[in-house]
Amino acid sequence: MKINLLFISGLVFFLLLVDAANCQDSAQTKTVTPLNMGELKNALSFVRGCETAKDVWPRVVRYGFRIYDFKTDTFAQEEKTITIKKKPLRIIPHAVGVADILWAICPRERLVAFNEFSADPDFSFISSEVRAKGPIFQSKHTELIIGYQPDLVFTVFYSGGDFKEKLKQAKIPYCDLGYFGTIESIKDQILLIGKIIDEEGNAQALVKLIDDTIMDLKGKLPKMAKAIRVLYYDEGGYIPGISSNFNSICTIINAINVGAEQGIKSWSQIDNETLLKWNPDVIVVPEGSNLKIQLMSNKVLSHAQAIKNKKVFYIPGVYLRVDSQYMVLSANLLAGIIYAKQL
Amino acid sequence: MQNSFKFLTKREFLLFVALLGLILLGGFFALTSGAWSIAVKEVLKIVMVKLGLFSGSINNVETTIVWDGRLPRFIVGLLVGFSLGGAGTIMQGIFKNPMASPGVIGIDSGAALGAVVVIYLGLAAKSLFALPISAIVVSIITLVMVFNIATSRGQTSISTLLLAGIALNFIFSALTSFVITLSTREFDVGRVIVTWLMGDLNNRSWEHVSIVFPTTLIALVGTLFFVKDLNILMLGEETAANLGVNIRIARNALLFFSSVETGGAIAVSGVIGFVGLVAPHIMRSLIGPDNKKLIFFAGLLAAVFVIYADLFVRIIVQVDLKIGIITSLLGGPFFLYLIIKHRKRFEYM
Repeated sequence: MKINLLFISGLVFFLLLVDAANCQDSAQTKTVTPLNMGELKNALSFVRGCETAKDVWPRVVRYGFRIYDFKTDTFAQEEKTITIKKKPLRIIPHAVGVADILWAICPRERLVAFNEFSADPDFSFISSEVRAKGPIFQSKHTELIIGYQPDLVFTVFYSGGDFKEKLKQAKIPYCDLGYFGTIESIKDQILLIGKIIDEEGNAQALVKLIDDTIMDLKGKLPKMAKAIRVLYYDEGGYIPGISSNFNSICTIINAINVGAEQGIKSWSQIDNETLLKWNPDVIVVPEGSNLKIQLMSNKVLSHAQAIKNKKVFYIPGVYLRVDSQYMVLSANLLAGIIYAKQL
Repeated sequence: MQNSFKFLTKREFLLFVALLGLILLGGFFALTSGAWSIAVKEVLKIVMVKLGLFSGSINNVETTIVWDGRLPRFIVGLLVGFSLGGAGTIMQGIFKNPMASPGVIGIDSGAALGAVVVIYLGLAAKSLFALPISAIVVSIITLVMVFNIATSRGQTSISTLLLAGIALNFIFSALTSFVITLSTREFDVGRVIVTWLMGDLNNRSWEHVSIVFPTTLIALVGTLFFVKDLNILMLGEETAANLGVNIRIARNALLFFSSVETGGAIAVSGVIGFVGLVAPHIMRSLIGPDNKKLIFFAGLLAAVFVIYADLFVRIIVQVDLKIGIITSLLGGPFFLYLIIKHRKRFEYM
């Protein structure tokens, strides 16, 4: 039995290795972006504005809590109120986007811990900085989070109800933040977070920096007779639509997100025939997959414009998952990819 | 009515024609429907030209869509259905149990685990063949494991085989759940795994046909070689032994072919539930228990299920509904109806 199992296991392992080794894609050439990526990332990571702190406590903040209902593909909004008794000095963000924002506008000594996604380069632009500062917790480790004794936890609309209940039981104040998949909603969240942590000046400065950067970026984009139609093709053939952050990224750089153009709301799976029918000018695929080779060698897709013109590009996942001020960074990179010839 | 299939009764012949008609009709809809609008006349012309039955100019784009997109998808559906129906027939015959299907001895969950691991490790994204190879190999490993557990002093106990299968099912399902839990961190990968576990024929190509066609053919030929023994085995092992059947060889070979069929099908389509269980039942109630015929008829009916479920998902629903959900949602109630209606008839097994 053992010999049988060993032989079969060895055979499959060998076949998979050989197969995988044969299918490695060659590296994509380095992208030249309209704005310097390193400088832009640094600018977005540390922002200080005018002193506007009121230092009045307790503070009652009313805000619009917008959630995205994945079942019905619709948004719902409700008014929420949070009362902060004293200036929060031990803050924990429970999501990457919030950590990004706090990293830029909040004195870092007030950030007591980060979740594992903020320390993961596939999800966060500040992963190395977060790892260096620490400590890092896993989102499911509620006990650990309570143990850090935060005086404010920023949760998000998809944080588990049980987690929020535990915080309530431990009498730890938390602020539940809504949807932030577009640059406008991100700016709203920045201002809200600034108000709650008493760093409104920094928050306003970050929003201004985002606006200025977008203007700067738009100014450097080539004038096109027709907007470039970009399609993001995920593993499994999923396409992002109107409410995705990819749509917002495309809008910033005057490109058309083909998924949104064709009426997809959040994400939807399409077949090759539909992709051919939609016929995008450019296709972007997540880095680390072999999708480029698969798309380029697909017979049905061989008639698609993007395939014929070899306009299929890899993009690191972190740029596509972004839901913070770093969305501008993603827009800058995508602009570098799709306007490569004109820049 | 006279028919040229002398080995079929009139009822069986009519049933065969009906099933074949449904498959051809399904094929017609599969080839003529899709996101890209192509006139029926054009589709027929493309098929005729490609088959060398007609010469003329055909549109390059439309030809690729029909010949390299829609046709392989239809053929994969046909072969997957035929395999699942055939495998279900073998299992129900060997175990003399109307609830038996390849899933009972853990083959489904083994293949699913093999596929899910490959998706999680990113190998499936690197090569089209990584997932099918892994699914088929792990389903065969599962069979070897179940057999080794159930065999003692050269004798394989059916009840131990079933119990070992149930145990492996639990283990593989738990491991699959573990991989899914790990993959939720990688949202994209998690989505691919979940989609695959629900069964899908989206974007199937000739490469997929080249995977499932040999497994179906090998299993069919192999099964036909032992189908007489399968019929005798259903009378009981003692009777079979008295009639000169080498029980061990016949049973092991049939289980092996059933695993190959199931592994091949799952490898290209994901997990499509219920088809392998329902199709043999329905056909047995219509044509009787002779496995020589039942394997073909159950295979054809299962193919009809898969083809139409795919058409339903692709053309009518057009949302992210998966084929495995449809087969279970439609097959389940229909199966219940049959059980209630033919309670007595099912008791014979």
